Amino acid sequence: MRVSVRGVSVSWSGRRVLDDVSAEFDGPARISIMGPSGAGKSTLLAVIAGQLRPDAGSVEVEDGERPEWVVQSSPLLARRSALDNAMLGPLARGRSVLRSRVAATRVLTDLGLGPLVRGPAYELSGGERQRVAVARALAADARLVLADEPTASLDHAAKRSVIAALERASAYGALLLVATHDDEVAAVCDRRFRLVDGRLVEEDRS
Amino acid sequence: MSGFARRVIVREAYANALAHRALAGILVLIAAIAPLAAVTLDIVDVHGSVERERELAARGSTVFSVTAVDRQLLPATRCDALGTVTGVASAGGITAVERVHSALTDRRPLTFVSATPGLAAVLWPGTTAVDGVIVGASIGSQLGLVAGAVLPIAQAVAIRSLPVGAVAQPSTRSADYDLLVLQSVPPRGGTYECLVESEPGARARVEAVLLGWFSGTATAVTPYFVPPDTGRTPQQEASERTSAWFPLAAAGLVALGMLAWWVIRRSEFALYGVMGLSRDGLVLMLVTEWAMLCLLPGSIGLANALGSSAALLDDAPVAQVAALDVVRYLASISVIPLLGTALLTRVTAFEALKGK
Repeated sequence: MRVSVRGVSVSWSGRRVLDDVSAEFDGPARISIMGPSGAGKSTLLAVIAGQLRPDAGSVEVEDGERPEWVVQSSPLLARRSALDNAMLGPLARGRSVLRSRVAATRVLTDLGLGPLVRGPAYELSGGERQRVAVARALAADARLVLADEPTASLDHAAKRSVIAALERASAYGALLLVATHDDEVAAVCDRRFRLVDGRLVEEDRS
Repeated sequence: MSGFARRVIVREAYANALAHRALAGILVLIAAIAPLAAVTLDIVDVHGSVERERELAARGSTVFSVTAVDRQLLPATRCDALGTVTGVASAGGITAVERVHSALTDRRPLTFVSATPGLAAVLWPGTTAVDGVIVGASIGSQLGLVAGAVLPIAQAVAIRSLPVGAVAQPSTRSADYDLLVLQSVPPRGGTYECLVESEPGARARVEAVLLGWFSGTATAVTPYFVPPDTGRTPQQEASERTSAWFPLAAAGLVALGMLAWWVIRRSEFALYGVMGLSRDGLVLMLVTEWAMLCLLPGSIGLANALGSSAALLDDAPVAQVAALDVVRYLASISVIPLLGTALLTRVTAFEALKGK
């Protein structure tokens, strides 16, 4: 999986949020994009997802792959079970109900949510909800997963469980692009980028 | 890359309704009871109007009296010919009215009326002209007359024996007619008064015909019987009834319920949008939910309304109103999925992701 970002610029209300951003992301891998609030992290992900047209530049996603999203307080079908929610990923890609059920059950179990698959989603904690969202993406065999502040507003234990779930993304063959201002999330990523004054700068891991 | 399969969308709609079973149950109840109550009430209301119309018709509300303005006689043949006019149930003209006495022991005074053949049905609905005289119910019972008997009357200085062709049922129009003896005569000469009964529903048309029927003679056309409450005729009551709006009100109530159901679950539809559900897929999902929660229970409610009112549907006007109510209701609720689609597609996937 390859995502190519070439000379992307986006302005909001006259302020240039992304300024001639270019990068190549190859997966499977975990890639973090860091920066303070308002730095343009979410905007960059939205541009990559094709939900926001840039003022300039272009984004090329290999094979036009539709990304799966994990966002802060990921939306779930609150009255449906964790299993039903995780199944939505593969179902949305045209998989059969049986195949979706098998894939979702496998991923939920892998992410430590096995005992919770039958209960309604509204009974899940914040961390569990986020992990179900990750499971939804991975069960779909998504090759591109976009995570926007997936650990924001979570306590430490919940954050650790979500980070562990995100770590599994590359094991499922996905390219994970995670926008975060959390160093702990960035620490488990293979490559780390930072948005500084609208420009994307890769950090040296050493 | 393919999206949600159609059968998956239908399955999701069903599963979502099941997941919100309390709310869905309330919706189903509303969707079943609202049309049931609306159509039943309308049927009962219209049936009441039809019954009142029948009662008034029995009392003469569809009968007109036509007389010459200057008290002259009208041509009896022309009055008799009215019986062949479309919308006219019967018409008969009075050619003579005499005061006579029975030649029986009590010498009871009698009103002896000679009229063209159509008058019998106007005075006693359901009665037709027969050979011999028709005797009013009171006279018949007082003198012990039956069909085939002979009624001797003292007329001037002679005694005539009149064969009794029939004893009429008590008149629904006037108790005075139960004291008459009616003899049908061929339409010749003139008539003092022409009584014309229209078919139910043809009253206005017949009245218009009557205004110019006796050309060359200035006539007065007056309703034979004015209902005591006046104001509105039963036909007006039926056409202006409030209950006609009940099916639309029921559809409105159900539409509000369905739209509320979708608005409450707006975030769920936004999630499906994020997951790649197309607009067509959204429409299919809404139509499926509408069919489950609105159309199916509504059809059951309508069937129950018609079933519980089956006896009243024998009346054609009531059956027509019931059919119209069903069509109106189903047509009204058929736009609900379109309203839902318009309501829900305002949320973009990006907004949904941002929790808006």
